[in-house]
Amino acid sequence: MRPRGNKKREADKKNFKRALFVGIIATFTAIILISTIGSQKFGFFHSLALDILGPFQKEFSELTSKIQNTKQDYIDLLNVREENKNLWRELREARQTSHLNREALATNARLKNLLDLKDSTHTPSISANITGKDPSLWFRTIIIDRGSNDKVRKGMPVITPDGIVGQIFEVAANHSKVLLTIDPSSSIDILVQDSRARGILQGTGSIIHSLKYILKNVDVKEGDYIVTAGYGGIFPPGLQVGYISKITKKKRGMFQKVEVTSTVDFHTLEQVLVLLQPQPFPDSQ
Amino acid sequence: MTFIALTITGLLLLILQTTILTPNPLWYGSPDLLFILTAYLGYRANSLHGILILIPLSWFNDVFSGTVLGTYPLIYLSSFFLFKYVSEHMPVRKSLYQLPLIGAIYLIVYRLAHFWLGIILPNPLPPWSWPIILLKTVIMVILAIPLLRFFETIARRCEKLTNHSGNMLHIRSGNRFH
Repeated sequence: MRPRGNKKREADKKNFKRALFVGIIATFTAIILISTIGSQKFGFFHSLALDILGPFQKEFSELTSKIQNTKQDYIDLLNVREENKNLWRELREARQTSHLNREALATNARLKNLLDLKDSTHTPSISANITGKDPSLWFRTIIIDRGSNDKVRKGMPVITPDGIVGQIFEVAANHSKVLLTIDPSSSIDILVQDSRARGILQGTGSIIHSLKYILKNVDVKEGDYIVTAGYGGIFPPGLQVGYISKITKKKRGMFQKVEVTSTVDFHTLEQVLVLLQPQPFPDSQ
Repeated sequence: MTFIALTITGLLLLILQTTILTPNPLWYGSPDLLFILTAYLGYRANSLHGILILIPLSWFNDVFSGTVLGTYPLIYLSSFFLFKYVSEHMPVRKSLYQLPLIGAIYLIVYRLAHFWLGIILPNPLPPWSWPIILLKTVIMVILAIPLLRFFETIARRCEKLTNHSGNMLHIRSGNRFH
């Protein structure tokens, strides 16, 4: 019986302690609640709680902020990478457009010059692009993108605003080969513009032509302009060819040795004008 | 297959040398790429197929360049036979070892062509200029290194593609004892 009585007493004691603890907590809570709600004052315990939890909160906030910043940085980095790619692409496109614009301006200027020349010549003409150049040691020819379909015929003069380029040498349906004035096979009847001295201008393969059959007693000087004479019927008269760059008078012989520099810049030749004039030798076509 | 591939390659080289590689009509640095193909064919192809490839190509070159028809067929065919003769009398047929020969044959053939054109043309030709011709020769020998490898690669790949004993070009081995 004794142990049973002891057990009961111990249980009662335990219940009492629990009830006391609950009561104290409840009372304490009630006091805090009543005092808080009643006075609406941020009291000591509030401050204590805030001071204890504040640093943790701060750390957590900073950690969260760091995580968010890192996440944002990563996202930004991805965006920046993408943006960088887009900007580079745009820059490349802009550069390309700028290059094309500059090219278009240059082409426009050249075509305008050709158009002015076309308007100024009374002979019907057609513009052409140079598509190929002769790489050989001995010949100086070019290929243009106009042929018999464009009424181009063998022998027709090919010019630029700067002067004579050459003449049509071979014709296909849509392309032609042009014999340049600088080709050694090229010979043109010319006049020295001031003295009206007549001679034959022969190509030498370089930018310098050789002017033949100028008598020693004829007054020609360096800088005189050379124009086509128009005698052969291939080139119309008065077209600019070049200017005299050097004169050598030897003791022997009847003629002066005259060098003529072409006024056409063959280094930058891109477009030309073909004069569609009737041919003096139709059989040669 | 090899025959067609090398002919098409030759045409592309011809277009290249008359456009991009010749920026203006007074440019002296344009290489004669077809001459390198001629050298390759002289070293590696049999006579019939070499001629069959070179005749249309040199004919096209006549169309694109020059005023005397027949100049290029004459230059390329004579060079081809010269390469063929010399390569058959050399111990090593591997074309890369024969680079100096390309320069030498180029100089000989072009000097003879200059002489021949000087006779048939009524007007005098531009004077023979050693600096220009040597510059062209050096450029060509330098370009011959990658181009010979390129032709070799084309020929080998075409052989693999066709993969039969009746190879059109009959490309020979680089070793004369094979």
